[in-house]
Amino acid sequence: MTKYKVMAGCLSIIALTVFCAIISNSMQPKENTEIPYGIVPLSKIATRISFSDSISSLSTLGMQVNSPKWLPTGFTPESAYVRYRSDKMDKYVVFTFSKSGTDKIETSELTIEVYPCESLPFDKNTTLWGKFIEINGLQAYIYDSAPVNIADYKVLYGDTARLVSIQIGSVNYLLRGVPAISMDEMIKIASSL
Amino acid sequence: MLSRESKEAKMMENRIKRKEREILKATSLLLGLSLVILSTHYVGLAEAWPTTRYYAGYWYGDDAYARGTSGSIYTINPSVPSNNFYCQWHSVVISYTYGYWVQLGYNKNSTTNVNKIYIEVLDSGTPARHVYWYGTPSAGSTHNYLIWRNTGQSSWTCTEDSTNLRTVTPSPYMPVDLQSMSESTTDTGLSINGTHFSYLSFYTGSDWWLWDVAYADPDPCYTMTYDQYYEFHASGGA
Repeated sequence: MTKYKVMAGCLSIIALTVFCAIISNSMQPKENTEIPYGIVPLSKIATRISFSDSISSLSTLGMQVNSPKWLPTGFTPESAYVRYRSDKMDKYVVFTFSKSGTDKIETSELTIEVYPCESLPFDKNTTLWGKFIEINGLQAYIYDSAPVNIADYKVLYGDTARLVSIQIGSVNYLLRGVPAISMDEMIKIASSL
Repeated sequence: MLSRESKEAKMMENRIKRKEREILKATSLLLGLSLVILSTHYVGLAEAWPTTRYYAGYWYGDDAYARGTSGSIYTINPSVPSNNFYCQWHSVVISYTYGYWVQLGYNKNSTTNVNKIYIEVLDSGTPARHVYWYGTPSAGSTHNYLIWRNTGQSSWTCTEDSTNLRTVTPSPYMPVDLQSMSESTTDTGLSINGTHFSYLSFYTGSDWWLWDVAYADPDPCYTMTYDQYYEFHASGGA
């Protein structure tokens, strides 16, 4: 008799706990990492033009953009992707560089996303990973395993990239390098901008 | 031979045992049911959604200096085929090359089968993706969703109508574009008829201005009506 009572008691406690867990879980805003949403990718939005055309067009808009003077061995500049706004180019460009001839934004081994910015877009108070450094006396941020949320990139290179962000005047350069490029090389690329 | 008292005692004992067995059975059933609900709850969330996406909507094509985006979204309520979802949202795009953004809107998926408001943040943190769930907008209602930040601040506030849902601090935090889209995992069997985005606006830090330009390139399964740069209707997908 006592055996049944103890078992029933235990089961009741477990059942109650499970129910409480379900109820409290469903009543609070949940964090769910399983449902991937998306945005329309830049490859659908942007137009591919040459490096020199993009730099000269941005210059006429008053945005001085530099391309790197140093690249790791075997890398070549591939393409520049820009957006047009009412037939006028927007102050935004993505440069792609590659060792294997890939010129796509998603899969190029090195990309540099360039845009006007008030200041370095990483906040020291809220960015608790990576490092804030100076490159050529300029504010910069580096992170050697920054998550990349682009499916085609992940298939080829894994989940992360080497990130360098450097603020030159009112322009930010956000570099994305595949893990095969060392962080020292990434910093060298950034310092040659 | 048993005496009458001991017979009665034996019968009473059997009756108690039977009752206890019934209680045990009922409790086990309750526990089993709880575990089934719990496993459905969690297994459902781990469902693998199709990776192809279909879009109808606008992108703004600017602007690093924007302090936010907002607009009204009408709540549609089509049935969702198994293992699929749709969502309608505004996004502040933080990086196209990394795939970072802050997104606010509503979603209906085949697991929960109900429209739910959500915020999604993707950034350089670990984990890279955070999704927060909120209330249930009723079919046919229109809600105003805002994502905005104050000058000099790195945090973004997500507001639905006049309720601040959450303040998020993505890293990096500066935007490179704004998007307002209807998104779906399938181009057949899921109708987005009735989709209506209106009063799309960007925040300057002090005022909200209607979008003065917008771009669209809907997937072939959808049709869009471009009412204004700050308003569109969309349909199709069934």
